[in-house]
Amino acid sequence: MNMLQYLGAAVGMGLASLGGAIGIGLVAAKAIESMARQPEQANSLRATMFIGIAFVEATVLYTLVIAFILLAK
Amino acid sequence: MQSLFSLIDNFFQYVFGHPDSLIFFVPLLLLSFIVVNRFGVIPNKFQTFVEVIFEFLESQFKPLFKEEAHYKKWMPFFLTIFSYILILNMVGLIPRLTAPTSDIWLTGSMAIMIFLISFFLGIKHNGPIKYFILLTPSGIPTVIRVMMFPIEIISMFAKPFSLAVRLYANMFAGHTIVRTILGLTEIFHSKLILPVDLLFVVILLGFEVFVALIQAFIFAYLSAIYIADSLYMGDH
Repeated sequence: MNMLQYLGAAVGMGLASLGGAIGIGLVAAKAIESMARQPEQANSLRATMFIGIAFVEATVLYTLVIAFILLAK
Repeated sequence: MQSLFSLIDNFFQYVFGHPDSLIFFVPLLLLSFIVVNRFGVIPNKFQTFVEVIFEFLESQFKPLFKEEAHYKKWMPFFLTIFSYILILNMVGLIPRLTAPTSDIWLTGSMAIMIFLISFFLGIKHNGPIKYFILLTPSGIPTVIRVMMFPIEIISMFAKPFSLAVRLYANMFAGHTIVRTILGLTEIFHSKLILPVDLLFVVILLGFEVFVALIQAFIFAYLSAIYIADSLYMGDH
């Protein structure tokens, strides 16, 4: 039973990080592109980018919570 | 019966047995009263810093509320949530202390509070039956609205859950990663890895400051969005 729990936590975390990395890359890419189009709005765009990154990262961290629950059993 | 007793015991243990959050927040609150009393019309450096933060928050929260009276009524609440969570998050960076927000009970109870406020505000404003009818957007054929209703109910419960788990997981994960990296000397069975280790930990703690700020702001901003959503439910 131990093996399956460790395996589940590891594989789940890996897949979640994959999705999260792609998502954060998309958010940051669009933010950099908009900052290049309108440099005077760069500060506002930067603040919005961080908010977007926090949302994507939260979804990855939901899986981390599940991994902790699996590891602690 | 047993579980009811343990529930009540948990409640009392939480309210009277966890002084951490009050110990850190109440002295800073009293200190802030003393400091703000000395703010004048011509600002000094600290006042400018506080005003920059406040202007940023105002620029984010003001477009959510359509009337000035609503904004003036609800803004202190969101500012309190923001400063409370910010202070509790920052406490986690002090060496021997753990952040009170890395506790699912505290974040869960704050998220449930926001959920109850938005739910009962919507019901008080619209009446119970019309609230559930207004959950699904208007201007869509009735058949699709009936099909969308379970999805909207699930999302109504998912919102406070995600609010709680987002804050809890960010704080808990940061703390755990620092502890894991510090424990690398045990895994590699040598102390030579310490300088690289400590450098990495310092960089991680710097990132933690940033995460603490952002998560506090996101909690306050999302709770403002949910409450403003309930206030202006039928008005699209």
